[in-house]
Amino acid sequence: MTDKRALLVQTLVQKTQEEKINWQAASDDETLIAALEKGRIVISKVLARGATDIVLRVYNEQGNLVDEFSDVALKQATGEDWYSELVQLMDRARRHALGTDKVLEDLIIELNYDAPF
Amino acid sequence: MALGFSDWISLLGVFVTSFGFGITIWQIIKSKSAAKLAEHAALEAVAEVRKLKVVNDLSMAHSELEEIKRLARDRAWHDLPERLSRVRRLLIFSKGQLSEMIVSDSGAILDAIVSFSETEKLIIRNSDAYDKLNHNKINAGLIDHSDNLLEIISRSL
Repeated sequence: MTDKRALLVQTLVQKTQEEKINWQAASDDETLIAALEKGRIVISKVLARGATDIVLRVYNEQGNLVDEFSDVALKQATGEDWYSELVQLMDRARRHALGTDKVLEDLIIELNYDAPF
Repeated sequence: MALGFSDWISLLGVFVTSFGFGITIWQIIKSKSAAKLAEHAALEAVAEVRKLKVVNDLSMAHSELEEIKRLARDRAWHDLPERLSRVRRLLIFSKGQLSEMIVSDSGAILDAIVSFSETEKLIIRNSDAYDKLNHNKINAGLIDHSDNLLEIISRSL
């Protein structure tokens, strides 16, 4: 039986790569929020038991927290290590939220522009 | 064959009965329309009262948020989680009540609810080390959501 949480994460990773998710920055640097029509998905790094876990929280349309799980829980459910994939997901999400790629492109254009004088 | 007196009386009776029947039908239609109008007016009044209640709740949430902004500026973190929770509950209730809310307003309120929930958790997680909190970012988030809420309230009036 496919774990729904794992499926959610896989879909989130795929859609983020396709740049189809509207990621937003949150109140701290280690938290990002995916704004979807039917709710919100929050991903954050949390220090727990001396190690850094990646935690996902799922909110429904009404704003109620309906699920919360970590990469540790995903590993227990699926037998696979999700940590690296989630770290990459956070990095992509952060770049989208901050518009990093657009800033880099603009700076490259500016640096390549030869002024007439 | 000419109609006799009794025939004319019978004919008159048919006309009178038909006329009376027609009036009855017209009265029934008229009273049904009046009942429908009254029902429509009552539903509109209920919707208007509900909308006023929601605007009032959103205004209360905005006032509470102004106080939270002040506490955050003063770095009085200890009091914030409970206040954020209060605002969140007001917003959740308001969002559920205003069914004719436009999609962008509904989304903005949901963003605020989730943001406050996450900020609440962040402050609690760092309750033994408040200096780790990025107060500039927290303040910026509170200001943005407060402004959005004010816009929604203004549009709803």
